[in-house]
Amino acid sequence: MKHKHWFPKWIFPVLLILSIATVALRLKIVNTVYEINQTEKIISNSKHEKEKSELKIAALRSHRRLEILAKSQFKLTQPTAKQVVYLK
Amino acid sequence: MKQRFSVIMVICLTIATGVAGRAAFIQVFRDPRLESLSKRQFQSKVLVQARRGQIIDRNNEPLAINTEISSLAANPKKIQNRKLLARLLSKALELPLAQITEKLKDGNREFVWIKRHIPDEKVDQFKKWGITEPTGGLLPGLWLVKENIRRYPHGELAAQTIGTVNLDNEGTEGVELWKNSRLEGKIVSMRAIRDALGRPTLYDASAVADAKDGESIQLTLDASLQFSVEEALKNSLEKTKARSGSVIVMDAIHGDILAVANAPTFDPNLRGSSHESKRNRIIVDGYEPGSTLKPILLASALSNGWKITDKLNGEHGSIKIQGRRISEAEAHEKFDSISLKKMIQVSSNVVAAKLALKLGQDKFISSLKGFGFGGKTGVGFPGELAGWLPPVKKPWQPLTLATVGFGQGIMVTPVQMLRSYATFINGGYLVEPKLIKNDLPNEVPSAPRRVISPEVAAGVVEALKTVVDTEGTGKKAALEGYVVAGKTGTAQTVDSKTKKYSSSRYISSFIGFAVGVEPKIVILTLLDDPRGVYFASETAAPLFRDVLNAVVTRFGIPMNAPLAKVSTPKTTNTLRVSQAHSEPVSIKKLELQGSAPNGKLVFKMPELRGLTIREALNTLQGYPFQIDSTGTGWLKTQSPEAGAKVSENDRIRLKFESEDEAQ
Repeated sequence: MKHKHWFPKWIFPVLLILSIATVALRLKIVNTVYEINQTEKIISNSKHEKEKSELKIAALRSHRRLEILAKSQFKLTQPTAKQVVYLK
Repeated sequence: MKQRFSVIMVICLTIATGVAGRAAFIQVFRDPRLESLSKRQFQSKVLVQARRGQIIDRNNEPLAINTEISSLAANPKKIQNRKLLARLLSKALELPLAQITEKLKDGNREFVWIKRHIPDEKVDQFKKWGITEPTGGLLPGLWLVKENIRRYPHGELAAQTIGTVNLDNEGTEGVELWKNSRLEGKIVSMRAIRDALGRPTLYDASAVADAKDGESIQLTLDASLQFSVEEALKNSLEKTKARSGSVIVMDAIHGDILAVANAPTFDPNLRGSSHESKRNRIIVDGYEPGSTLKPILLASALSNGWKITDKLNGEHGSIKIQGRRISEAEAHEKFDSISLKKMIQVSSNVVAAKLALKLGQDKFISSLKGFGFGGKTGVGFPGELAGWLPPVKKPWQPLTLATVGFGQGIMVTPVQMLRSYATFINGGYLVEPKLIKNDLPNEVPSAPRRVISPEVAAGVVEALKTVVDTEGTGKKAALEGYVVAGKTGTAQTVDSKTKKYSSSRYISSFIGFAVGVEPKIVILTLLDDPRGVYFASETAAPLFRDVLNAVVTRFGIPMNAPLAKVSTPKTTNTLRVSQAHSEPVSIKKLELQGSAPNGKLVFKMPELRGLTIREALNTLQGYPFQIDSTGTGWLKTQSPEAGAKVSENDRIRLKFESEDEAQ
């Protein structure tokens, strides 16, 4: 006597495919989130590097520093009145 | 047997039904307790920190920037050997052992800061002190937190205006405090789903979008001019030995403040500076203006029908009003009948007092109020003073009216005085001083209002030009090639102990401008308590000249007055480099090793031993060190030793010995 199933046979492969798809999708989401996080970290590091460079540039061209270097390394002084030539 | 099996089956089924029912109940019906448990396990709160906006000058030169720095935090619960760790941390961070022990003592706490803002060099040394594990990470219970720190690349430049922040990057002084809400941006707290290792993974993207970095604030200051002005003020303070000094440079048409210098000053990169040095004196301090108020009196008189050629009697140098004697600043000044123009040139107190009395209280007060005295200027800087005028509820005594006439018995701020003088060269408009270039639409200064007619303004300028003439009190303010107008003021100050005018402490000031040039710029120089010769003509006026020189150089303002005949140096087609040197080139140059995190330059100390005093000082000439030298002859010992690092403002000790002493 043929035993009759109370649900159709095709349900097993459908459920299997759905389960695999769900897991795959979930993994993809997690992966994408990690990638976003990594990218955000890179952006943040780049911003910090940019700020560091800006700070360094500003410090290097600071007027005080240039004045000190001019006076010390190059021994420059303010011109005296006699050294100034007025051009008309 | 079958019956026993059935009973077991029923029991199992009942239990299974119970479990399934409970599971279904948990899944279907809400339970706040379980919800919170789940949230605690899978969700975490994340703060998205906004970056603090930069502060830049009018030419986009950064004045305040952020950079990243490490801070060390601990979870005392997870630390195994607290005593040992405290000892190691104390050595690595150079902190008192008791302080760290105290922080790690409470085993119930899960978070405690050990030290905020640790320089990278110190973090690199953690391995040396055994604070790290062999894998490279920190010992259990310790972790480094990356934080933003505010840096001021130009150090002391415009320090009182820019201000400071606290450890949490919140503004505490100056523009940092004033514009904190715009600078700090928007910090967003949001939930994130944690992964198996507890790391936040799935963010709420819409909440992230809400986080907003702080805005940049653009000041009206010009960093280059600011530096020149600060240098001029520093030199003046050294010469006059004044207690403090201030300079403001403002565009008379737009009200843009181009430079604000205060001395003594401070470095906002370093913590622990005194409140005294942090005060922006030009805005938050009041003073009695002295003779610099006389042009306001003159403007008031001219607006009320007087002419600059009108004469008043100088009473031979002194006059008695209500039993009190009012005299000229110097005993030899005994004037007869002099014009109002002459009154400004020679700065006559007696004539000014008489003019104020003749003009009357109502007209004079109306002019003072019109020029904005007794009210805030609208610059908006925190702590701005409104100044003080004697109360007008009852009529002023003649003595009060007379003394206010020559600038005593009234309190003003330097910025109020500056803007009142701006009216003389901008055609009579009172402008609102401005420190922020990119103000929000609702913060834009109100439109200038006319307070005097162009004719009155021209009359006052005419009088002010005579002050800088060879016979005027401000002749040392003159700059070759330019027509300069201005007024000196040497005001008495009240002694806080005796509550009377001090006979030894004065405030010397000069306010003026170059006439007939563009841009129209007005300058105020002020020195508090100069020692020795305290008159403004000898102290504030020369400082004004230096500042004006910096202004015309910075803006390339062409000369508009004939030059005095000076001997022109012979020039050749070949540039002689030696012309640039006033001193012979020194024997050695110091090797520049870079900059410290606080922006200070670091040099390598040279070997100076064996040099004469002249040779050693020539080598160090121009470098920003404090030099202590003792003895004569040749250099025997030096500190720091050759090869050591030496940074700006470090003290260098040189000990010289002659051959006789050495033997």
